[in-house]
Amino acid sequence: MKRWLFVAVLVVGAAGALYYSERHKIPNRVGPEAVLTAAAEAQKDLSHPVAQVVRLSDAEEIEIGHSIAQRYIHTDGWNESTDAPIEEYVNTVGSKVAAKAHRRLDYEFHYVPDPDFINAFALPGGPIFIGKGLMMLMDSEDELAGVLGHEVEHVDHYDCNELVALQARLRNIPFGELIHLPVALFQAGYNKEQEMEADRDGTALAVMSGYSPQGAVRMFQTFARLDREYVQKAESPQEELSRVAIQTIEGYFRSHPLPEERVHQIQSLIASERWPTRKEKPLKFQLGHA
Amino acid sequence: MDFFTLFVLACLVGLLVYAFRIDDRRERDADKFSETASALISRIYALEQQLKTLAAHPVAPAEKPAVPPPVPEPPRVQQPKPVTPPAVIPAQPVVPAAASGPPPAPPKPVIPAQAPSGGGIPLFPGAPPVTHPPAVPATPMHAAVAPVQPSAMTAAASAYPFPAPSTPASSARVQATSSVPFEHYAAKKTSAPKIAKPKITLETIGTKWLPKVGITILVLGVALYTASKWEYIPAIARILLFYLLGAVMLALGIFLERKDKYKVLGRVLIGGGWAISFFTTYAMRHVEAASIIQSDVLDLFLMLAVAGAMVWHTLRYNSQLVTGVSFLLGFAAVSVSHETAFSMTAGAILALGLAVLVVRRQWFELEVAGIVASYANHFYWLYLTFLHFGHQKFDGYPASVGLMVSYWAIFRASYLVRKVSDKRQETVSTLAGLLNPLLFLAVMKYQSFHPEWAFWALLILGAIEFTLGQLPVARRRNAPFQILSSLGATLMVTAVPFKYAASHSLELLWMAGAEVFLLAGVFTKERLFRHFGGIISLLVAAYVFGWPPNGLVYQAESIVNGQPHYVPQISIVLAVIAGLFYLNSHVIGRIWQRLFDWNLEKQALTALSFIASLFAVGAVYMSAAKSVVAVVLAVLVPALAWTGRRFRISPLLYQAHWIAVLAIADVSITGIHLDAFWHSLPERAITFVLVAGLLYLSSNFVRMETITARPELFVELYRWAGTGLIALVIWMQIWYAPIRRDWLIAMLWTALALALSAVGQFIKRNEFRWQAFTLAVMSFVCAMVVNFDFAQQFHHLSYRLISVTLVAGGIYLLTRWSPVEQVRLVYSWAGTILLGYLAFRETQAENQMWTPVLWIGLAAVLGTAARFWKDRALLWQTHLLAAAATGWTIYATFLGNPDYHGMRTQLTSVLIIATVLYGLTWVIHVKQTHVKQVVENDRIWQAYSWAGSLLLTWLGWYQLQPINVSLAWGAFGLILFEIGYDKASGYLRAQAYVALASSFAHLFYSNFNTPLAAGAFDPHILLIVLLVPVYFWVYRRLHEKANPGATESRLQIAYLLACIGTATVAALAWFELPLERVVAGLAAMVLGLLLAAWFTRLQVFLHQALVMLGITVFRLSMHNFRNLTESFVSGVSISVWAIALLAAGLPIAFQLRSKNGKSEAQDQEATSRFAALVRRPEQPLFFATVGLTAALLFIRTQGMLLTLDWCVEGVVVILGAFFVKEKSFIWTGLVLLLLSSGKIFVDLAHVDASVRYLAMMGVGAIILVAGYLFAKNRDALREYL
Repeated sequence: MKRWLFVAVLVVGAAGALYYSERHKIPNRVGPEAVLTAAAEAQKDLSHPVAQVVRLSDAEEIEIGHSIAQRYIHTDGWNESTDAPIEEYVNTVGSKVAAKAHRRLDYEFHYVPDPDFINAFALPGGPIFIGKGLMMLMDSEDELAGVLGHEVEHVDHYDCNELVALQARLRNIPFGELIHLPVALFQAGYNKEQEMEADRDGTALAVMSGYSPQGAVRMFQTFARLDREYVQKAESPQEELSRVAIQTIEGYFRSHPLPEERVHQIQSLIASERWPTRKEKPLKFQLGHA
Repeated sequence: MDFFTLFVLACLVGLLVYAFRIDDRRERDADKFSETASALISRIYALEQQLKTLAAHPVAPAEKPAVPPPVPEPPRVQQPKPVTPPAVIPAQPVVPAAASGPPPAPPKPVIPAQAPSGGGIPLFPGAPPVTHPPAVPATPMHAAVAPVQPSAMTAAASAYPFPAPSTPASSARVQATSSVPFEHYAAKKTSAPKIAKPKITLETIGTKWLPKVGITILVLGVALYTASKWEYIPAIARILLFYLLGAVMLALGIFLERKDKYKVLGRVLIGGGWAISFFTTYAMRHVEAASIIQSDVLDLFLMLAVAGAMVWHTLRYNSQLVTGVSFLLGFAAVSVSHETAFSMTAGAILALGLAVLVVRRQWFELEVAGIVASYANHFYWLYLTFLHFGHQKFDGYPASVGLMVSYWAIFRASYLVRKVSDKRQETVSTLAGLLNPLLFLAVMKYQSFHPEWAFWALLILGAIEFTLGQLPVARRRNAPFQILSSLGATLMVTAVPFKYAASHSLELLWMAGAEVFLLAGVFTKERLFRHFGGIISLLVAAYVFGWPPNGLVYQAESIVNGQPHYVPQISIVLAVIAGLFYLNSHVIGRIWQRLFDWNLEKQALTALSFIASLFAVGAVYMSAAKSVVAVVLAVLVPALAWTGRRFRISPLLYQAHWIAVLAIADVSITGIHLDAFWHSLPERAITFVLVAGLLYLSSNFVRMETITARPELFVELYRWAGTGLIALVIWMQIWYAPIRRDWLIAMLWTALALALSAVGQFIKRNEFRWQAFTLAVMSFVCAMVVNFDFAQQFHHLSYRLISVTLVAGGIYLLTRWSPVEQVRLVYSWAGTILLGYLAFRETQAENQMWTPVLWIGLAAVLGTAARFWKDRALLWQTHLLAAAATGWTIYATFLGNPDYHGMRTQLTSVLIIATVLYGLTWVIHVKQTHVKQVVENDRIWQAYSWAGSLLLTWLGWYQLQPINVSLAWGAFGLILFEIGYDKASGYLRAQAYVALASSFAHLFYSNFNTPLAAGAFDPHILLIVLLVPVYFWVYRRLHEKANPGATESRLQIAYLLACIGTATVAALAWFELPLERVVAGLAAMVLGLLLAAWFTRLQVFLHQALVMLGITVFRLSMHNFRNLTESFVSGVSISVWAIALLAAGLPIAFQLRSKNGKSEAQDQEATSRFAALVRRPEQPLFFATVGLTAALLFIRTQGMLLTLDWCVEGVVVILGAFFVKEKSFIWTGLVLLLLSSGKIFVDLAHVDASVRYLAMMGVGAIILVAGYLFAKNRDALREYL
């Protein structure tokens, strides 16, 4: 009897929880993200000692990164006269943020005047690019600082360096050929652990440079809104499973964390690190909302 | 170098290679003969000696002789007697000559008294004495089986004072053979001595091939050099130089040829020397760079002179190689003089001389080369003539023809008069005999200007060759008779088309010739003539069959293409030939049966019979109207069958078979277009019925017991064909009717099947039941393909419903007359499939979701019926329908249409299906049916339950939010487990385990992806946490159970469930805690698990604690510590907390160690490292804590401070170690102290002086404290260490 009572309690408790949860629609996401994140963390942890060994030297990294940056700048043919003030502004904010980075490199910050380019990326050795599309989503300089800090941390944590070293070894590319690596390789981003790391330390860099951490929070909240707007939910288990398969195959090395997770992480950091809440500075160049 | 030079060189090289091969083969033959003779002689001698030994000492004592020392070659063997078989081989093993030196006691050679020198068997004149074993009367036989050292034999052979004709290897072989004991010979006495096939050895390559290759290259080199423009040496000097070279080579060759060892080399040098001399002579006129004379005639004479000298000289050596080279060079000389006809006459003279030489010396290979050279010579002369004057009639044409005829006559005469010694010579002669006319005709054709003479030329030549073949001189040998007769006949037959190719007279002329040959062969009893007749007949057949444009193949093509094929002329020719062939095959062949006793002849006559049938059918096609061809062919069938059966001629029966097949094919194809009516009767039906009737009639004549193992086979096949035609005409009449009533086909076929079954039942013929079965299959397929598309209504019922139901009913009815039991099952299956598919089609348009409901309903009915009637087929149909219902539910309800997602109809239909599936689990339960053999596998019924559970869980995935699915599955698994536990049902418990495992896996798929919602109460942690007690509850229940199932025990389900429960908590900590704090959660879990293990005494928790410890250490060291160095936001406090939690577990671990110590005896056998850790859990915990602390100190402090920290840590560890009396702990503390002591010397270089001294004092003090501690605990140390 006691046994059935315990089972009944369990079943009733489960039924109650299920009923409550069904009544209150909880936003959730299905997929392999959790497993992929855990695997990425483990992989990062395991490969870290090895990666330290196979890294490129600073001189090599700078040479490759700047060569790729020059090729990218020249092939796209930007209107420098119009965009020069914005680029100077980006460079000013970026340099301020990068001043506190661990690695003392010659960081360069470039503005990509393409409204469809809603992204920012870093190249090995210090060149960092931010798109007009992304800046159109911003209201404050603190948001810009958060994004640039994030990209600086990809360089600071050797993410770009290790990516190049990995390509060189996997595809057996000689050093001289590495400057021909496509920019898309760096635009695609890194694994979740690396992205979360860059979020944390990038925001910390911005805070140390006098910016509000709320800039980063608001930036990720914007990403979350876009994600909800543009990412369609699966309608059936088989659709879910097919997405899972694709994500599992393609998304391991290039899977960004959920925006909600990123927001949650920064908010937790604000609380745990007791970062001061400053007033955000408006963006000097308001480019209009995307 | 012009084309001619290249041509000459190519001919020379080719012929040289050929000559080399011939020469080699002759040498090998000689060697083989020599070896064979030696081996046989030595065997005979050995046998004689054994017999004598046995006769002298019948019972020899088995003493083991002392091993004699190495023996040098006995001097006695040097006696110059020609052949002394019983001579000299000692009984002792022969050792290599290299082991020289004075032998201590050389035994005296034993000379058998019975074998005086010169009294042996002579091998061949001049042969050296063959060494043989001496008689060994006092020596056991096995002592003679000593290894024979080849080098010793070589040395022995080389000791002879005269050249040995046999090679050292052959000598060794002789000795080895002679030393084999008698028993060995006795064992092998039935087998002939085996002569090893000559192999390419180093010796062969070195002594034979290298000189030949070398000389070939040398000659070519001289030729090429001569043609080059080397301006430093004038032409005259070059000519002299090469003559000198040729002379030197000749002289050297002559000298060396006398020595046996260098015979090959010498002959090669001779050939090469002559070749160079001849070529130099040629070059004096024809090579530009060496040209010193201007007269072709002079050069021709010179070349002929050189060639003549060559022939004269080389004949002395009796070598075909050398003489052949000479002759060939002579031919080349003639070819060079391509200006006048004079040179051609010289060629004829050379040919005549060659022929005489060939006949006298039997160098038939040389004649082949001569024939080629003669005709090639003439051809080249013609070629040059045509090149200069165009391809037209020229002045020397009659002379050319005469010369060609003379060539042919010379070589033909040579072929006829020669005497051959063996088969190989005859083969070479045959080659020459064939080459002669072939090359003659080829060159004649090349120079011919009157194609109209070809008929007569071939006819006359054929007649001459045929006549020559009948002469006594030709019949003396069989080969010339056969070759010349065949050649003549072939030429005569070949001649006919040149004049009669344009008319049908050709076939008839050939046929007449064939008949003449055949009859001649019959009356003269000459097999060859009969063969000619047969071959010509087959030639006629091939011509009539495939010769465009009137060949049978082309006629057949036009017939297939539907073109008019009424050709009476060809029809008559075919009929005549067919008649003659039938006459030859079955009349002549039967009357003179004894003459055709050769198997090939019999087969040829049979082939003629089949070809006749082919031509007869062709004649029918070309003479009869298209609509009646099949009927006429069908008439032929019983006629042939009757004749074949009456006279027991099996080929006629086979012909009847293929003609029957053809008739069926013809009526099937042409029947499509037979739409006319004949007296109101459809022409198609009449034709089909006639053909079918004739086939039924023929079935009475095709039974032949002697032909096939199953005499009834063809009877049945013909009846099958008749029925097939009736079925076909049913289809055609309906299919090609103006009004479409296709649904009738299946019904009529079913009706025909029922009728046939009734007939079969009545006349007791099973094949009619099989035919009914086939028709049922056809009607089934037809219904599936055709009837289901007829949705038109007839009195509110669709044609589909009516026709398919009737067909299904008919098929069910046929089960009463099934030919075998298995077919009854097929009928049953077919009916059910039709009904099942009907249900599908009737519901498809309305709502697919209800299709599986109908199926599962049908399955329920069938299952009940199966249980009631105990019918196995119905039971399996139930299985199939249930599986289809399940699969279709998954497809239609879940996968096929996303609109059903979350619909109430989905819920309703799936619940119904799942309920029926659970119900069917009871209906078809094997224990309930009480019928043996009903279900092959008693677990099939469990699949119903599995399917029901699968559908319910899948329904949960659709109907619930993803975050709720895990808990729902977990609760479902719990319920299944409890029911299965109570009912002792293993499959229900297995379903529960799958559900529980799935719920755990689904957590990672959904729940752990969902971040905590801010603000309102978020139940998603609760949804995870509630699963933990479920997992542990099931674990506890299984753990309590006294006798869990075998599979559960084997798979350790309980253990796994406990692990899943703990993993759920760990995953919760991993995914829900902030990244930095995960490690604290994990460390807390380690502590909690240790406590659980302590309280519950369950080792599973200790195992889990150790695993979690490993994960914690990994996470802390690789993640948190890394972030401490690289990240701006990482704090040390979490790491300290984690280490502290681990350290707090140490006392519990000691407690667990003491508890485990009680059961240590049980664990003693556990030798794995994990088992060792389980026995001493405090060890990993201690080392993890100390190591992590040291690492943390290393990260957070540096320099002297780190040294101090490690020093303090070491002291603390030692203190604790003394407290717990643990040896390994003391060692750890010592290591830390030593580490810090060593590190201080490193620090000295990096810190400033003041800090350095202070730190040194501090470290010194600490180490003193440590020393004190050790001194104090000296006794304890002795005990521990």
